[in-house]
Amino acid sequence: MAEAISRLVEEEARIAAMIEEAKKKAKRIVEEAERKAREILDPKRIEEEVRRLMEEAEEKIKKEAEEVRARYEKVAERVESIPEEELRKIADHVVREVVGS
Amino acid sequence: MTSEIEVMIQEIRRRGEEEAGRIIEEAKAKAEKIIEEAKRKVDVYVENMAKPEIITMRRRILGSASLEGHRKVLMAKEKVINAVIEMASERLRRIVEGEDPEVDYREVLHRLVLEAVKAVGEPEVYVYANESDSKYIRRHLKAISKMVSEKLGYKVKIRLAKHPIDCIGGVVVSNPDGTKTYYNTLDGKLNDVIKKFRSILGKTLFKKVVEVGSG
Repeated sequence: MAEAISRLVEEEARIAAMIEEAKKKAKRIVEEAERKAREILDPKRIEEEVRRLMEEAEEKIKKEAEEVRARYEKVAERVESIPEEELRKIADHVVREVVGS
Repeated sequence: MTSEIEVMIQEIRRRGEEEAGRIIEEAKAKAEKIIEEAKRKVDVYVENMAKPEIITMRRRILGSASLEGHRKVLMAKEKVINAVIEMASERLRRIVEGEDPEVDYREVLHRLVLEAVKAVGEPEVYVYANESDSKYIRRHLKAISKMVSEKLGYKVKIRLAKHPIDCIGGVVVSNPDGTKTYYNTLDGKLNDVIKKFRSILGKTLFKKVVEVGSG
């Protein structure tokens, strides 16, 4: 009987220590998270993130700009490739207006 | 009795382990919340800092590309218009030199003189023309004066200016004191017609080309 009670006491002490250990571990977990949060909120890191985002955006926008240029380029090419015959017709029309015939 | 204590020990162990597990789980949840909150804050900072910059950059880069492209299209249009002007000028030169079977330049010149004299509206005028037209007008001055007088219904004395002017053809007519001048050269008329044609070309030919491309 005395042995059983002694085991009970021992077990209680072991559990109390285990809970104490869990509390310490919990504290470490929270402290580690706070450290990580500070790291995440570091202005230098934010600045770096902003710079990275800007670079990504710039690259994307530059590609878009190339597409815009290419679209205009095609229009310019089409304008320049209007057949000479068509231009001559317009020139003849202009001449008729000039000489009034 | 021993077995009852054994049950108690088991129960203490179970509750203790449960409690320890709960403490760790709560700490993990709190840690996750702390990190998530930090990340959310960073996202807001980054968004607030980068977004306006990106909008400005986008406007600058795309605006510049559009401007550059638009300029290229305008240059292409200008090139086409210049080609039309060149073709028209070339044909006008041939007409003036009498090399175009479709147009009698003498008739054109007579009409240009008549229009200009009528516009000046005086009984005595000076006619300015290029060298070859001046020669023609000099040779036919009487006939031209007669034709103009008849058409206008009053006597007009036409004098030919001493010095020729530089133009493809046509005339400039002034009253003697130079207070009234009417420009009726082919060059001037060509410019006027081209001005008119610029908008027509924009609405028809170029629009057609641009629409075909964007379709």
